[in-house]
Amino acid sequence: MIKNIVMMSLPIDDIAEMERWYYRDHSSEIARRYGPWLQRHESYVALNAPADAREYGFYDWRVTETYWREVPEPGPKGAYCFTPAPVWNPIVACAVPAQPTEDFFGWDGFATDRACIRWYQIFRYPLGVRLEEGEDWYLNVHVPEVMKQPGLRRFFSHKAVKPPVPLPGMWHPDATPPDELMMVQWDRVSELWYDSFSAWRNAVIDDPPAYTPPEWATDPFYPHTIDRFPFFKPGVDLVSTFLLERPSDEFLRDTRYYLP
Amino acid sequence: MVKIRELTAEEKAKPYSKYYYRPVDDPDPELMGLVGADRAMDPAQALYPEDIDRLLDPGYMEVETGWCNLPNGAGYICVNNKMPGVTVDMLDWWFAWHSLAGMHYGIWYPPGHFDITISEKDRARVLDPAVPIKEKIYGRTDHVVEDVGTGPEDIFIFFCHPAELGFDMDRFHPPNVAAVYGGYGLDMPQNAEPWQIRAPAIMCHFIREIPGGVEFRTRFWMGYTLIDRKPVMMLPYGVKVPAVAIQGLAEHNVREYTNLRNVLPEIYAELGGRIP
Repeated sequence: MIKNIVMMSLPIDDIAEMERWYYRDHSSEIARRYGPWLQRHESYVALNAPADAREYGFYDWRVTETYWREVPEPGPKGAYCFTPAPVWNPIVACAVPAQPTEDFFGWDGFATDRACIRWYQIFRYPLGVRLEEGEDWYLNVHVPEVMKQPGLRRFFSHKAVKPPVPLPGMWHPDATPPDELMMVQWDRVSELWYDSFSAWRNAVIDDPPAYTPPEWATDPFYPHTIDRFPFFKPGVDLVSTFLLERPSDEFLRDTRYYLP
Repeated sequence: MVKIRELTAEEKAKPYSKYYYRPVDDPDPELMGLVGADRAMDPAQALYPEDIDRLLDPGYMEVETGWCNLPNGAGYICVNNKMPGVTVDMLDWWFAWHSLAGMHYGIWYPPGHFDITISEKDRARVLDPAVPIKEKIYGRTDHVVEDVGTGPEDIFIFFCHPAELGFDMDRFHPPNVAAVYGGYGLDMPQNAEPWQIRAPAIMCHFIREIPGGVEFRTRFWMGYTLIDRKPVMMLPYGVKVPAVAIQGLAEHNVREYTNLRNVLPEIYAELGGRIP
């Protein structure tokens, strides 16, 4: 089963119009047209993260996850075009296996323990880094060190599905989200959970474990890199947001269909 | 008049800088005719990257030089550049030596090859005399700045061992093949925003010895990448590689290898096949 992830950012001035469009038009169109193939269609509103937590390519509006039992064929296939958004906003899209491909840490807790905030990261290895080399560093060097963060509650990851999964539906040729607002080439989605933003700050900023930098962090051959945790340049190779445990919207049950 | 990058004083002081300033040879007219903008080949005659092993078969394919869009939107290029007077030893040396400096790469084709860099780790490997010359390319990543027909681009080329490209190593020997220089890459317009789309491609230069020299059978699959030794088509639904980009790369390939075939025997003899 495929989980498609769309992480979105939005200028605050556009939120009223965009929330109306998202509820009334876009989520309804997805649910109505593709409900037979969808198992879940859920959205999480991004938390109002403090300034230091926004330094990691922060996306401030929503994360929507669609779980596809089967992905319908791409193209119009009998549907109208999607109703265009009133404004186009920055979007990150990625498809992953519905279940994490690696569960690193914290599975032996109980869901009834303390609630968590989820640091939801989408990243790719920097330009010039081979996928297998990036994966070797991340899985065998970095992850064991991240697991030493004080207060880390949960840590798991999904390897991105490649080739990209073609989703159904069409935007109108004259009303297509502009390429410059979409980032689609990703390698992984990882989640790190903490008790609170204070716990996150302590684990990530105030009392982090020692990290071994990857080759790309120290060799100027690799452009657009940084030499400190998380070793992915925010906004270029890493975007992230903070979510609660439970979705704010479950569109397959919440949407009232009124479209043809 | 095509402008070329002006060399630094240090580069000019190298005795072989003369090759950089030598007039570029006219491209092979027969091949240029076959890769013209109005000469897209029939995609049914294209080789797909999943079938790359067919290059090891004796003889030639139905189309050895041409370009087209494949039905899945990918771009396909094939070019057969004959290189009289060129040997496999020269090519093995060239594919190691040219990675060491921007001017080396520029000598290949001054109007379109602007710069090259490799990582410290890869440089050490190229310079390590214990690494056989044929293996200096395997696993190396080159960052080249090159105009392949649509303006200067930053291109990262991940060179691979032929087995990673999909060749049956039991059949990988003369006369089927003499060498393969290939891998996969990502390119983006120079000075593009770093988050912009990186266009993938698989590249294969398949070398056979022929009387008096070698033939360079090149294949490009634009829109594909290599993951776990398998070609993967990465274009989103409905996206086609623009024909101008495919044809431009085909034409550039003819130009750059026409020039290389003419300069390589001389510079190889002058530098004695040594690295650096």
